[in-house]
Amino acid sequence: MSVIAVVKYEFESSPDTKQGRVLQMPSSISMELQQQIRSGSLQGACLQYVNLMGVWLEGIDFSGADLTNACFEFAVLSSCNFQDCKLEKANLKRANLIGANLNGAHLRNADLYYARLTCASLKKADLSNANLERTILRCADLSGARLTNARGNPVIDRTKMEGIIQ
Amino acid sequence: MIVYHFCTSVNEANAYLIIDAENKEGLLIDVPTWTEGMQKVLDEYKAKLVGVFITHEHYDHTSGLSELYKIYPNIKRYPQKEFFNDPENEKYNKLTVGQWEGTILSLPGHTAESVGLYIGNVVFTGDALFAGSVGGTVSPQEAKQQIEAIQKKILILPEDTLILTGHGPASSVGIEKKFNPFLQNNNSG
Repeated sequence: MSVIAVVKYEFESSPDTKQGRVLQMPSSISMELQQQIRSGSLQGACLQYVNLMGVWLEGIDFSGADLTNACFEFAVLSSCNFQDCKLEKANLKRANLIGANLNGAHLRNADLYYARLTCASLKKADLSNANLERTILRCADLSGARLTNARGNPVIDRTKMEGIIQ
Repeated sequence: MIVYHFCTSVNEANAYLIIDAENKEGLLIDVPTWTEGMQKVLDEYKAKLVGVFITHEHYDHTSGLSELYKIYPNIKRYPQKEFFNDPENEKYNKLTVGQWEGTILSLPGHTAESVGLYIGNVVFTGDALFAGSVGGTVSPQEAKQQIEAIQKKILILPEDTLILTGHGPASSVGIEKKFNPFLQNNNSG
């Protein structure tokens, strides 16, 4: 028996400050990137190979960013905007992508193993050769998405799949 | 408060280690397996393991207990048996880790004895609630019971409360209220 992954959550709040959950950013993330994340926008940023494993990134606007080979394993990406992002070969294993906008995103060869995409929008996303094993696509919208050679057994439940390209 | 999240190879179940670094105390949430990495975290903070909290009795959350008891034979286990007779009794539904006080939440459905722990701004939900989903149940009655427990015990918490689950990634009360299809008013999940 072993451990597959470890994530550390560090809180700035004390028992006296009940309001607000303030998670500290991992020290491995540069100060500049931490500031950009706090601003809520990484539009068009070039972040190839960035490691944001387990980081809380809810609602960040990544639209148009280059996130090729980025690692987002276990990251919370709910309600993030990834419209037209480059996410080729990105590690999105076990990520929380609930309600995220991935319309037109380039997810070729991305690893979405056991990722949670409930209510996410993936219209016209390119998922060619992506790993969709155990990927949860409940109530997601894949209209017009490209799934050529995508592999695995995702959870399909009330998933919109009109016009998908196999 | 620091929380370490260990995704284990036992059915990909999660274990968590809560650390109060200031007071050098730790609490383990579920034990799919006990590993050197967990001990290393305790050693790093020179923290004493004050207890182990089991969210429910399924093997993928308890398999490491025997190994843990070899190292910590007198470790306190939560919830205590008395909790299940009177879940609202503060004598049994409270625990502390250093300066942090936690409240044990009864969340029946996935199993009759499923529990969660609300501590700091974090709620540990075991297999009752996952990011975008809920735990499996064996009957519609238990499914209804589980949804009711989640609504009454978890969805009433502040929306930015971090949810750490028995499997998969973290979430928040706000995310689940907004998107979890099993928790919408028509319960059509």
